[in-house]
Amino acid sequence: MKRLRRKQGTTFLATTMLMSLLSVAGMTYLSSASNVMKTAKRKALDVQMTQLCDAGVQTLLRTYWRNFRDSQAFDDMTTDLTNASIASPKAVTSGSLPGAGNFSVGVISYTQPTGDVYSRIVTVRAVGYIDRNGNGSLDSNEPAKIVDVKVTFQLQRSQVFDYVYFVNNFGWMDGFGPSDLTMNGDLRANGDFSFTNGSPTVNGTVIATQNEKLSSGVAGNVSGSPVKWSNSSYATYQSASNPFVSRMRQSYDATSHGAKTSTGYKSWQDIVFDTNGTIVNNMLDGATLSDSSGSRGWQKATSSATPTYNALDPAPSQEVVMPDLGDIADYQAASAAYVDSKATYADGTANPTYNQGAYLDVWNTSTSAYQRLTTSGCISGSAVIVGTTSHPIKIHGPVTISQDAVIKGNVTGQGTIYTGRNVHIVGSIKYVNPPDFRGTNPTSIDNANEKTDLLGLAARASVMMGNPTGFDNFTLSYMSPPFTKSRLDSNGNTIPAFNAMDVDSTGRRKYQSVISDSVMNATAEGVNQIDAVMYTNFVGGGDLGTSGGGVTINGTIISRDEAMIIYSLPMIMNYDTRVKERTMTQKPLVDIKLPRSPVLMKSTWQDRGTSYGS
Amino acid sequence: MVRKIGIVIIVLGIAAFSPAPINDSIKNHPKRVEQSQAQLTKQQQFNGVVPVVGQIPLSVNEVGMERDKSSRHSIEHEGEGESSMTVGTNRADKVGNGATIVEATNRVEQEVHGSKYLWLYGLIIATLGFGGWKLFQYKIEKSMPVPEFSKRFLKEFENGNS
Repeated sequence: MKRLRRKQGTTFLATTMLMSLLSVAGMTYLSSASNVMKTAKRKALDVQMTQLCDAGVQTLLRTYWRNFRDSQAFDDMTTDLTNASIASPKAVTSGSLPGAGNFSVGVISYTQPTGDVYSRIVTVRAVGYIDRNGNGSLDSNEPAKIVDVKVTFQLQRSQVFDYVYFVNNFGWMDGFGPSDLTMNGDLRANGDFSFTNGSPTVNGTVIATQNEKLSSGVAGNVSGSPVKWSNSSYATYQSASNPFVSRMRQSYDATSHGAKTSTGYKSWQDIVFDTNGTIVNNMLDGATLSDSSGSRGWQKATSSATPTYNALDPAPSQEVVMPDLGDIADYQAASAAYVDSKATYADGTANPTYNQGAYLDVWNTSTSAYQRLTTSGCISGSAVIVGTTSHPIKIHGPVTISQDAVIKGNVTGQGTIYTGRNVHIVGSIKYVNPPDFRGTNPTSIDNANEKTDLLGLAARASVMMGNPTGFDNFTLSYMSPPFTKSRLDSNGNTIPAFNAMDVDSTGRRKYQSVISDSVMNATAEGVNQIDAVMYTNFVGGGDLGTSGGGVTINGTIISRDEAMIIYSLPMIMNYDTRVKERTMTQKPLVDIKLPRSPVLMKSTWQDRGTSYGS
Repeated sequence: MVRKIGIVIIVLGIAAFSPAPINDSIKNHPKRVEQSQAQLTKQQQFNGVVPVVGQIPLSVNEVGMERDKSSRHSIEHEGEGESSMTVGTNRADKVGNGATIVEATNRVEQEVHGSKYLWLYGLIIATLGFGGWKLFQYKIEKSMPVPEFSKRFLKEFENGNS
């Protein structure tokens, strides 16, 4: 009896263990199958919620991008987003995608990189969730996903400075023959570009752009065809003793500059003129006509010749956003903060202005000494600045003048004058040490030109050339509607056309200076030469060449409306290649802190985790 | 016919002698001769700063700034069908107070923190499992009858060895 019981106990244990094993195996299988199903469901949810997060991020960023693109300032962003944190997100907005789910998005971090006044780093946190009960809020049993996106809003170097002539609203050359006007550089308009009543010489590219933001909505066509020199004609002209040939770009020569596909050519491609428009490495190269119907090369040696075209690219040209000098306080802050950080030039020699701030010095005839007009790089009010060869205007860095600058004469140094109102050019502006773009070695040319004089003139209102007290109705008609154009900003607001006859908050008409007419009359003379990179928010125009002998601009003119009336011929414009962004280095040879354009750069997308609810 | 020709001649004459857009008014414009260095030097007496006149324009776009009702459809209706907010106003704060973001953040962080102690849970489970297994072994050994041959075998073994 005792033995039998012991045998029954052993059987019971073995049976129990077997059953346990079978149960475990069954449970494992069920669990595995259930997990596969759960994983698949979660993956689908994850994709869905990722899309919701993306929708939220795009909604918020678009709102701030539109504002930033128009205002070109960080003011609204700073007001809305300062002190944003994870515990207290700012600019929170929510929305839904029908059939998908909801999102809630806000800014959790807003910072300015150390020492960089032109950038703001914004971190956006987006929550995408499935609102199962449709109550519009996230409940504990509802799945949610968090994504952080870091972006940088930046005011970057603007492409408008790559052109000798850039006009936002309407590019026009009227009444010029081939020898009356010679443009050695590229031309661009964010609208139509028209050559009428003559064929001026354009040794460069011409670009027009379709633009629905202009009041009339323009098609963006280049009408008329300018004359263009061959490379050999250009080289022959430049090698002769003609005026300002040292300020012209070189023409392309395969022997000197290398084949287009060679590495040696890369050093030249940004600073030479090639009359033959082609495509090199899938990029347009050489002089082309580009507009809404695509890009083409063209040849036209004389005004009477019928132009010939060769189609290159059917893609229409695109708008280049102009900088907008909005709040003068931003530029005052930039001037005050400026310190020259270049210790040595590219050739190794020491920069004499290294570590110095921005300044503007002029000769004081009473003290027979130089007088510094700026305090921390700024001037409150307006300034009259006249230079001579023996006592030129001295500029360094970005200088900000809160109202007008009245300028003429000789200039030395490298810098930009920002004005809260107008720049009045009342006589020729000439560099004491001008650049020379001729030579066979690109490095030697750059090393020499890096040290020569360079002036930027950036007006928050307009750049007026000549004596404004002498502007007649003819001149003023080109500074008023209907010649000037209104435009829409990104939100559909109309920015009215510039009207020279309007009176602004200074009590003066927009084309006039706040400096008295008597001083303007005493200082004004004919404008024959302008060595400067000119930028204006509104009109670049006035009377030029009134003293006879023609007009030469060595630099650029960038404006929304252009109204230059030329009273003596010829007119020559030579692009200053030192301000062009080089393809290889992504920066210009000389950085004089010119106005910038807004860009938005997305840097990181970080998946912070998913909760599938309890 | 003569009258028509006369009109055409007059019209063409006016067109021919009317000023071209840029160049033709030069004759009537007073020339301002470019000055010598000596004259420029004299004019340097004007070098200096002039105080602010009136007010510095706060916005150079302020005149006539208005909403254009006929603005392009693509611009006006770009954001239709989605939530939007107006930058620079308090609207952004009214759209949401961030409760959803904070709640989701806390929940996800909690789950992430929870997984940080997974090793501890694993250790506890392993310890308990090992202890349970040992207890089970002990119980088994205790409940199992000792085979009789073992006793006989031990006795014979003892006798054989003695």
